[in-house]
Amino acid sequence: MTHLPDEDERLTTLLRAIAAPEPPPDFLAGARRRYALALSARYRREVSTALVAAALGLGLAVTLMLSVFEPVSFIAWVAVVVADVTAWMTGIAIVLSVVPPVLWTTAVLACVVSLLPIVLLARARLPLVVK
Amino acid sequence: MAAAEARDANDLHAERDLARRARRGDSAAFDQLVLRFQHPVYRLCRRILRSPHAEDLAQETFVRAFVHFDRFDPERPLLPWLLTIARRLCLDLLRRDKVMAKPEDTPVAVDPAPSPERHASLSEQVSRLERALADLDDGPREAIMLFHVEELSYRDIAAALEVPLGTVMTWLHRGRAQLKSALEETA
Repeated sequence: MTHLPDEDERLTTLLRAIAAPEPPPDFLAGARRRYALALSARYRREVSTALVAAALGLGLAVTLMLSVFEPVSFIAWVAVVVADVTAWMTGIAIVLSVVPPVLWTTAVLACVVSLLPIVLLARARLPLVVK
Repeated sequence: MAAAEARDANDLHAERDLARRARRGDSAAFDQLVLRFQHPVYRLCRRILRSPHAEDLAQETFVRAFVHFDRFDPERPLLPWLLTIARRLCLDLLRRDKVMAKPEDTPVAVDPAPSPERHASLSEQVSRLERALADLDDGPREAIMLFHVEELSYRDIAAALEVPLGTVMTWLHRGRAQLKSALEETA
């Protein structure tokens, strides 16, 4: 606080003697109620903005896809892809069920045994040549 | 001096912390800030509006401040910012509703047990001061009240009233001179 000369101090005393109105006793409760309302309104606004943005994004994506692909040919392409994936999955399942587990185990072990020397060689350090 | 600065820095830090918590919906922090600043904010609204709308706008000040707390400059104290919001809300209302601020009769808060002569003299001085205050322009009057009653610094008054520092100093100088001459007329 700045130091005030006597005359300013007298002015300050008199200005403070002018009775200042005090906030009513329920001021805090009123402010709290309004703040809670404002916060919930902001939350609702944020949620509705997010929903509108999501709906717009979805609409835009669908519009773009429909403009790039013909709807009928797009559906046909999706059907072909689904059929291919299903055929591949079925084929793999048949192979797995037909070949006995002993053969699978042998094949896996053979792979590991053939790869192991290569890995060990790769990890081995070459001796330094000292002059 | 250093202790006072450290205390001010601690106050600032505590205010910012409370304001951040209030913005996240912490009602206890909001209550603390309202209790701390309700008097200067309410008094400012009353001085500008001189009507029962003051309570409404003082409450709205706190709501706006903490809903839009991201706009607050954390390097500045909170009170000048609150006063700026309150002042803008009041001026908007005056412009919108063409509400004319009318002077109101306020009782004089004097020492409850002075001698009758001293009480009369003090009441007379305060009445003259009130009339002289009413004759001041809005800017100088508000600067005088914020400096002498609310104890704000020049810099904070400038921030609250949204004017340059030099204007605040000029307003205070001229305002004090007018008030003192009004008081001297009584002597």
